[in-house]
Amino acid sequence: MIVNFLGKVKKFIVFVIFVLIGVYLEKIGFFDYITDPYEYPYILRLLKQHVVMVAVSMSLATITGVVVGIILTRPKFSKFSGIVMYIVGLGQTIPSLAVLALSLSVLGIGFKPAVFALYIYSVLPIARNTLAGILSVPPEIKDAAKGTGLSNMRILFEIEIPYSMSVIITGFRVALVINIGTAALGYIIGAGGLGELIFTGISLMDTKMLLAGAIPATLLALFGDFLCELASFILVPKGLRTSSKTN
Amino acid sequence: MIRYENVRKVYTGKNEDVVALKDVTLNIDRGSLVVLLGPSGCGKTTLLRLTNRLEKLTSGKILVKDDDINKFNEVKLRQSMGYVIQQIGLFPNKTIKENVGIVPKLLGWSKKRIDDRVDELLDMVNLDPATYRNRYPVELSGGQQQRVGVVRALGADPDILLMDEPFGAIDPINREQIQNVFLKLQEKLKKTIVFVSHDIHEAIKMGDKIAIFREGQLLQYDIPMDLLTKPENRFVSDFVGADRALKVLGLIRARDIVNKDYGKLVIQSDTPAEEALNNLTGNKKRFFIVLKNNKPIGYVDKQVLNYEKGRVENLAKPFSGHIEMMETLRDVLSLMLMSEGAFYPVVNENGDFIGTISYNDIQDKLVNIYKEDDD
Amino acid sequence: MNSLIKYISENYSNIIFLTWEHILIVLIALFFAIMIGVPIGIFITKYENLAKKVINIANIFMTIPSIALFGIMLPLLSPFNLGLGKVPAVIALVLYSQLPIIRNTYVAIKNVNPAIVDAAKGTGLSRWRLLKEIEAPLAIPVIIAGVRTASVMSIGITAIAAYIGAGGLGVLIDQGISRYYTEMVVTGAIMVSILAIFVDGFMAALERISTPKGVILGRKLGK
Repeated sequence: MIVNFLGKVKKFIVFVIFVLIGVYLEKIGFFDYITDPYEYPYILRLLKQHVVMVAVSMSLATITGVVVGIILTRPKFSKFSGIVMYIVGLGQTIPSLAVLALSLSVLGIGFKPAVFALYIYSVLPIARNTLAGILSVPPEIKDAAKGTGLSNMRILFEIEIPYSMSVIITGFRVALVINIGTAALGYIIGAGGLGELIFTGISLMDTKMLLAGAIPATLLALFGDFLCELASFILVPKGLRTSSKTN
Repeated sequence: MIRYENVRKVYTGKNEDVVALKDVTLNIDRGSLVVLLGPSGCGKTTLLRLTNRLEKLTSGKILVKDDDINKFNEVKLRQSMGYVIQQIGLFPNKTIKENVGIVPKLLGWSKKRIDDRVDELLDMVNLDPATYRNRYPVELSGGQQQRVGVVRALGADPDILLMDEPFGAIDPINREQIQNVFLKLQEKLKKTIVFVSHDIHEAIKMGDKIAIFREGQLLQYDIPMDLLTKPENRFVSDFVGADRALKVLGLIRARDIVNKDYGKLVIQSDTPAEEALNNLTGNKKRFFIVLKNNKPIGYVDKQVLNYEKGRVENLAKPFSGHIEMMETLRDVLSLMLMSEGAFYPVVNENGDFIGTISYNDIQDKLVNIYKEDDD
Repeated sequence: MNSLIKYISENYSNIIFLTWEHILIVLIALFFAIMIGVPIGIFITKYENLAKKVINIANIFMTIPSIALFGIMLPLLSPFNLGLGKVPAVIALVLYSQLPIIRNTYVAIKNVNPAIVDAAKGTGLSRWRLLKEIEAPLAIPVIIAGVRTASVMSIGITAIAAYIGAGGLGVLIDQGISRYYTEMVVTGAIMVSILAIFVDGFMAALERISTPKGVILGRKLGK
């Protein structure tokens, strides 16, 4: 009974916080700003830019990442897996801003260099998780599959990939969240996106502009994370589901 | 040495209370190995853990050497008893030496004394100290780890050992080996041991006395022989197994049933054949056991004596097998079932003849044991 | 390449200063992050029902893009004149570091085999001895791994914090871009990358050193 009461108190507090945030936003003119017919096409355009940046780089990263990950698990290439993963690990350590900055110096400003940087940054977790996921398939299962008469291709698609789905999706999710965050920095190298609102808002000390960028960016990241949870639920075969957050 | 008086343990839960032990009174004598036996959930492990206060008593008393265990500091109490569990629980970040020597170290022994003690203990369980003392648990096999677990409990030479299915996690072959090693050790050390098991065979093999539990109650507390021959109720006799008569065979030795009434059946090896034959027919016997230097070398019957000449020692037909007096009846029957003799000679450690055994002798003895059952 | 070397040699002292500033921010943030995160991690091992919720909240913080978090903190902290500069940077870093630190602490302690804890208590180790001789040595390497993740992440985020006036190596990138001064940008990017790689390697070594020998052998033997 006490637990129930605490639960209701918690829900009430969360509700109050949301109301307070709403009041604050109203006070600073946030809602007026984003519904202003002069402003909101601009905001939408930036949002679109942001989403496109993320979508393009994530698609490329996913395709190459998964393919490279799979290739490295094939016996012919397994000797490269060590060194490739080491380089990948190294790349993951490099701060996202640095990757953007280096991309700028080599490729110049604009949409393409930003997408390139995002691509590089997102390939790594996906490739690494694909590799790790497929390698974690217990050898007995592959052995049983071979013995039953499945070809290598079939084993890959019907067993290895489904088995590693959970890990691969986690890799995708990590990459996605970082990607959305780094895309917000894309403004710095001239790629537009929600970062434009945020950085400009900071320089001008214009809170409503800043929040017009920060809040969508945050919601985008949270939504992306949530979609990945859903995807995990749908794509991971029932027999293999585990909780990912406390792993 | 250890007295349990009206021990009661209740676990209070959200919806209901679970009574793990109802009202247990039990005395464990110094130097004896008592097995707490029963199916899972019967309370045997709970009783063990109450003894070193890993669980708290709901009511009742536990006395060790006449002192209430609640009087002591619980950490000090545990240091005075050895504790061995099924999952072994060796500390993975410590070497074998550090594991075994942990209680002596806590008690402040000098480094040299600890090192000597560790080597002595490892030796007792056939683990070469030089090889193993600096290894880590992860480098040892399951059987080796469990042996280390046992000697860790013996580290500071406690009088009491608490063992919770200590050999349960080991494969059957290694389990038998380590049980034998442990029995030999106990013969030397004569510790007071509380041993939890769910396996009737292990209980009979290891226990001086067995306490059978069911759903928190003590049903019977007896020596193995009495448990097998006089089970107090249906549960006990079912638990012990329908083949309890065969299990009893593991507890009785040849010397317990040897028939010493052999006087007229024996002749010395230097007896000439004609004399033997005359003796046979005169006494209406069918055979003689031939002894040389008091050791049985074979037997002679009418057939042999009729057709051969010379001393009986050269004519004796060998027996299908000898039985040593310390062999269990199980092995004796096994031998008898494999060959054809009507009886077998029994010898002592020196090979001297002490009597004979036949199927009849075995049956007579066993029937007498079970006869008391019907009273 | 030559112009790069020229830039570095000319601005040597400024680079060193910014590097030092960068490291300072990260160190202060890590200090607070560990002081807060490790006790929370230990706490939730005792209260399982909280564990999932706490880890979820920490996870949400990590999902928020760093510049967005800086942005949101700006209006919140400006009444106190703390909207810009090192303070919001440190606060954001502490929040971001919570997930790896809390989660790793929680997992580290949970993963100590309960049979070992039972054997230790039954053998006569006091609660303190148990912690000191068994639980801590086994848990620390995993906690260090969490701090390692948090450190590398913090170095990256601190670079971004230059845009809210916190200083550090991000300044080279920010100003380098405004001034179209490529050498400056590249220097900033390379310095912060080297810093990150170095710290990662250092913490990896710390992880290795703190792992008890018995555990390392176990991994080698595949157990």
